[in-house]
Parts: sequence; C-alpha cells; structure tokens
Amino acid sequence: MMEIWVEKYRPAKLDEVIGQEKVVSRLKGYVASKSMPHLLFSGPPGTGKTTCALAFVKELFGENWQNNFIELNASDERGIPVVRGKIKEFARVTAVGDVGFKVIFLDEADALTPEAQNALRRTMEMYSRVCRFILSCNYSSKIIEPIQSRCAIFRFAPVSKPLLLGRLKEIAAREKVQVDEDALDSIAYLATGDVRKAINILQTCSATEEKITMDIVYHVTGRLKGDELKAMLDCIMKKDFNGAKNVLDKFLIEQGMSAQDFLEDLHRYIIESSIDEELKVKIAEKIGETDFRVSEGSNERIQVEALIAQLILLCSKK
Amino acid sequence: MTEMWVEKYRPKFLGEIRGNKQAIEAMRRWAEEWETGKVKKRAVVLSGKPGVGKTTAAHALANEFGWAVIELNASDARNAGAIEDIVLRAAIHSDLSGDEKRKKLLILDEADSLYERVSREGEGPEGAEAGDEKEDYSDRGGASAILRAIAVTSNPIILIVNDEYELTRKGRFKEVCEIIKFRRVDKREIKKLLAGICASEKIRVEESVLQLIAERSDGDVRSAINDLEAVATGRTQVTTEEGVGVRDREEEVYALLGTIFKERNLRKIREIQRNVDEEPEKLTLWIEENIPRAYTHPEDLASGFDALSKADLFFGRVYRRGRYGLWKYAIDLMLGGVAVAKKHEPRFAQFSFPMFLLKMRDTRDTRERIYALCYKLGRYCHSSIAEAKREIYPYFVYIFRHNDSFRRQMVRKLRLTPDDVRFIFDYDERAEIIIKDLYSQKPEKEKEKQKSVEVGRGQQKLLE
Repeated sequence: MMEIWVEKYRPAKLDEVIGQEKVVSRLKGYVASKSMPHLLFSGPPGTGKTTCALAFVKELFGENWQNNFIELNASDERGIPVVRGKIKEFARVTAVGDVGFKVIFLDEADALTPEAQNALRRTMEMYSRVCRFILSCNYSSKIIEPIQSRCAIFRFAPVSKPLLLGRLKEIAAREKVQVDEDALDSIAYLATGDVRKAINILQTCSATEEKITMDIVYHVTGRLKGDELKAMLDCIMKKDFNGAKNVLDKFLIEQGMSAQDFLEDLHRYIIESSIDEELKVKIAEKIGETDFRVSEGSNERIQVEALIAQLILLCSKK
Repeated sequence: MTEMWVEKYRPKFLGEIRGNKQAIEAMRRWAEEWETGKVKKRAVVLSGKPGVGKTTAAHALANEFGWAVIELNASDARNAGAIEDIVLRAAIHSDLSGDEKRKKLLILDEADSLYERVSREGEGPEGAEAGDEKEDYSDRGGASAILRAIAVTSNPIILIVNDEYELTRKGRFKEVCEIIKFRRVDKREIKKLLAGICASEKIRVEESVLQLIAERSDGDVRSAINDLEAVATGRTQVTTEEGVGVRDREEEVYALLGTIFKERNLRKIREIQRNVDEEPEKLTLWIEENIPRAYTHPEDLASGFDALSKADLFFGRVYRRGRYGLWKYAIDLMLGGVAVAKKHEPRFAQFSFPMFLLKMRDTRDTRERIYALCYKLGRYCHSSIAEAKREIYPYFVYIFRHNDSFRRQMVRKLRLTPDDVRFIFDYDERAEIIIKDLYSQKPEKEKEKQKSVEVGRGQQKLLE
C-alpha cells in the first residue's frame, strides 16, 4: 500500500522524534506537570516542528486531544479577523479533561505581517488562562519582540546525518525497497538535515525503482527542478534574456512560487554546479543582493529579472 | 448654455440612476437610519470603477433627503492635519449653514488616493518645505483622522473610492463603515441612456453607433456620454461609426516608452508621463516588458533593469512604511534612470503590451488547480498551502505520475477528481487510460473507499 510516507511515518510519540533531544525532554516535562508556557518553535523546514506539536498535544491531552487542539496555518489564514474569529470561537469553549487549557498551534507564524502579529499578541494575552499557543516559524527574527518575549523559544536544529540515515534505513526496510549505501548518502547530502525532504526523495525514487542507486537519486531529484534551472542558465549564457524570462515566468507565474523560494533554489543549484568558483561567488553576491531587494521592494518579478540581466552581464564578460 | 452633457444629464434623484440598483437601495436604507436616528454605521464607502455613478449617487442621496453637502476632494487637502481639521469641524459643528436641524452630508471623494495626491503637491513650488512635510505623511496621517471623525460625527459621511483595498488596508474602515460596491453598468442600460440623451438633444444617431459607444465604454457611463457628445456635437444626425473615439490609453503609453528609450532628458520624459493616464506602478510593467526589446547590449540591459529595480525599492518603501513622499524618487528612477542607462545605440523596437498581464490571465486555471491540490495536500500533511506547494507538491506529482498503487491510494484519500488527475498528468493522453482504470472498478473497492472517507472526516474535524 502506498501512502505519502512523510505522513505514514510521522512519529506519533515524542520519544520517536529524531534529533531534537533537548526540545523533547522539556516538552515531556510539560506533559508530566500538565502545564506549559506559550511556545515558539523556530527552525528550518523538516526538522520536526509540526510533528513535535502534534505528538506533544496527544500526550498532554490523551484521548481528548482533538477537542482541545486546533491547528491553524498562518499563511493560509491571511486576514487577521479570520484568525482572531477562529481563535476566539475555539477559546470560548472550556477545555475538556483535567488539563484546564487548550492549545492553538499556529504554523508558519512568520508569514503574518507585523500588524497581524500585534493583533495576535493581544489575543494571546486575553485568552492566556484558557488557551496556550504554540507558534512555529523558520526564523524567530521575523516574529516581533513582544511575542518572542511571551514565549519560551525552542530552536530546532537540522537533523544530523547519522540519525537521518537511520530513519531512512528503517523506512526502506519496512517498505521493502533496496537502497545502496551511497544512494542513502546522497539523499542525506541533498536533504541537508531536512527529514521531510529526505523521506520525500526516498519515496520519489522508489516510485519507479525497486533498487535505488546513487545515479537514480541524482537523476530523479535533478528532474524535479534542476532541468528548468539548467534551461534558464543556458539562456543566460547565450545572452537570451527573453528565454530566461520565460523559464522564470513558469516558476513565478504558473507555479506561483515566491521569488525568495526561487532564489534559494537557484542559489543551491549554482553552488552545487560545476561552474568556475570565482564566478560562483560573484553570482552568489548578486543573488544575495536580489534576495534583499525582494524583501524591500514591491514587485518581486522585476527584482528577479534585474538579476537575470546582471547574470547575463557577468557571463558575457567571461 | 454650453454645459457638458455629463453635467447636464447628471441624475438628480436616485431613481434616475442607471444600473447598481442594489447599491442604491443600500444607500437609501442607510440614509433612512440617519433620519430615524438609529444609525448602525456612521459612514459608508462607495467603491467601484470610474464613471459608474458613485459621486452622482452620493449627491442624489443628499438631494432626496434634503441634506446639505460638503464635498472634499482629496486633492483639496494640504496634509493630514488639514484634512482632520476640515473633517472634524464639518462633522461636529452644525453651524456651517446656519440651519441647525439640517443634516450635512460629508462626501470624501477619491478617499483611496488621499495620500498620493497630498504628497505629489510637494513636488510643486512648495517643494522646498518637503523636509517639514515629511512628518505629516507618516502612516498615521489622513486615514486615522478620518476614522476619528467617523467615530464622533453627528452627520452622515460618504467615502468614495476606486480601490476599496487601498483604503481598508490603512485602517479599521471595514469595521466602522458599510461598504457598498458599485459595478460596471450593463451596456444595454448605457445604450438606453444614450438614446434618451439623443432624443432630448434632437439628434438622430444610428443605433449601431450607440451600440458601439456602449460596448467600448466597458461599463463607464461617464465616458460613454463623453464619447457620444464628441461625435454628435454640431450635427443633427450621425449615421456612421466614423469618429467614435477609441478609448485607448495604450497610445499614450507607447509614446512615453518611445521617449524613455530614445531620450535622456528627465524633464521632458516627466512631462510626457504626466499626460499618461496610468498609475506609475502599472507603468513599471510596461517598462519591464520593453527594456529587453530596446536595450540589447548586456551593459545597458543590466543597468536599465538596475534602475527599475531601485525604483521598485522605493515603491516598496512607499507601501511598507507609508512614506508617500518617496513616490517621486521611484518615478525618477523608473523613467530617468532607465533612460540614462543606455550607453549604446538602442534598437528600434516594436514595443509590446506587458506579457505579465496576459500570462496572469492565461495561467489562472493552472494556478487555481495547483492551489486546490495543495490545499488538499496541506490538510492531509499538516501543512499550509504555501508549504505544501514548496515541500510536498513536486514530489507528489512525480510519484503520482509514476506509481500506480500510490495513485490509487491518493485518489481516494485526497478525493481527487478525474480533472485533478488530468491536470497532474499535464493533460497527457496517458491520463485518459489511467482515469478509466482508476474510476472504473467501483464495486470491489467500495468498502475500502468508505473507510478512507471516514479517515478524511476525522482529519477534517481535527483541522477545522
């Protein structure tokens, strides 16, 4: 039976979470004492923030967990009135069971604007007796100070390679797929401490193969994004601005990817590519400047197009 | 008397206004609340495209209820303090017209471009005071002044905007105002209206001409009347469509582009830009599209885009920090900056309409489908739509395309439709065979299906 493996193998208990020992031990303390402050989970994708939140509330509330827990994705619930409405509604009903409060998990809280965060801050205060918050974010610096100061901050680190390999092997065995050692190595290398990504790559490879080799790993992951990025760089080398722009439009317009995500992919692709090292550094600088301008500017597409023009200039000088 | 037709035929009563019946009913209900003293919201926002009758409706309302009118264009105002002063004085004191009992309707027209107008004046002769004015443009300017006025007023207030969002993002307008939307007026209504004017003016205009004007107006009554006046003035009959003005802002934009890419004189370019009836930010799309057409040398291309990129930084600061005084620098950079970027002979280019706008339209379906799929995926995997799109969707598509048992499972768990499947396969022919296979073996799979629906509901409950 095929499932999305990241869900199938999502740890149900805190003890099964890999790589976040300090976080887990403090969360277990909260379970034992049946109390908790507001929490802020901060760390890169795929390090276990959502998993820890889910496992924690299951252990804290036991059978009643579904009645006492609500999960909100900040980046979907853009309007602060919606968030506030839902939160208030949820908080109004008294908690079921012996814990005495409920838990609201607000995922990707850094997607909220500062204004929305300010509104949230008041809500957190107003209902703190009956409701505790777990906020999660990639960067705690994007969360306003007043919220940070109300939360205990938990940092989630990228998961170490040995732990990642262990989890991959376990899943491979249960799914009865054969994976070469160096294939596992390359998956761990590509995932850079992101467990979700590692498992996704493993499952993607095994969609077509029963025996996974390193070549297959690179072939499959390359096909996911690399092909298009390569086409774009080819255009840049040929000074074909419009060709490169067409590829960019596919990412930004058709797929609705954010410019910052695109820049991150491009950056990784450049660093891992085989181009001249000196040029790599120059390109990285340009990408960095663009990343900054995207966050300051108003139209991100214009910023990335300006980058393409810069890259064409760089490559034409070579 | 040479009054313009748009003024001459401006309706004096609500009943005479073409189109927007619901909006007008809503306004009438609101006015009646004021008359009976049971006001729920002290202000309304009339929002809609130009020429659909917002200002006309506001004045007609005052006329019908016997209210005096105090109209304030945002362009009259000097700064936030002045707005506050006028608004508050008018709203609180009842001694402006001497008649204590008579209500005064305060109409704030162009309430969405309030700041912009104010800051643009800083460019004029009074520009020297720009340093002092800076403080007044901070984001606590006019919007909060208006909000304060709404809170205390004993007179009805109407705000008129083209872009509702421009206003509501500046404060709690949604909470304290009733928002009434005006839509484009149906072209059949416009045609009837034009026929009526022709009858009063005793001019015989061919049916097909009226039809053409109505169609080209795009629901803008004012422009339709103006167009009619333009073709009919000085004649007693109009039989051909000749001379019906083409409402084409693009001509002006093309002229501007030609100047930017060929000239280097900022003053001259600015002069032409002032005649272009298009917002500066829209213009950046035109410039963006055409830089690579005119500038082919890599150096010019790079520095042209760099200027546009810097202009965009100023737009970002304008919006993010409410510093509307920065607007002018953005305009300098996008026009002059791009113009002086050329160090080599520009190519004689055929300028083009911004492809971005076309692509956005053409890819709407794709984007909506990805959104819908990522919504389902996100719910299933405890992720937001954005995260699902980034971290899960690419892998999901690959596995789905390549693995049959995964496909079967996911179709059930995520309740995917044949259309979803077609989309994931990028409308490949292979999809049809797979769909036939996926959706045909119902009887034996029925039990399992039931089970998965229950799981789905559990998820739903947990997430909602």
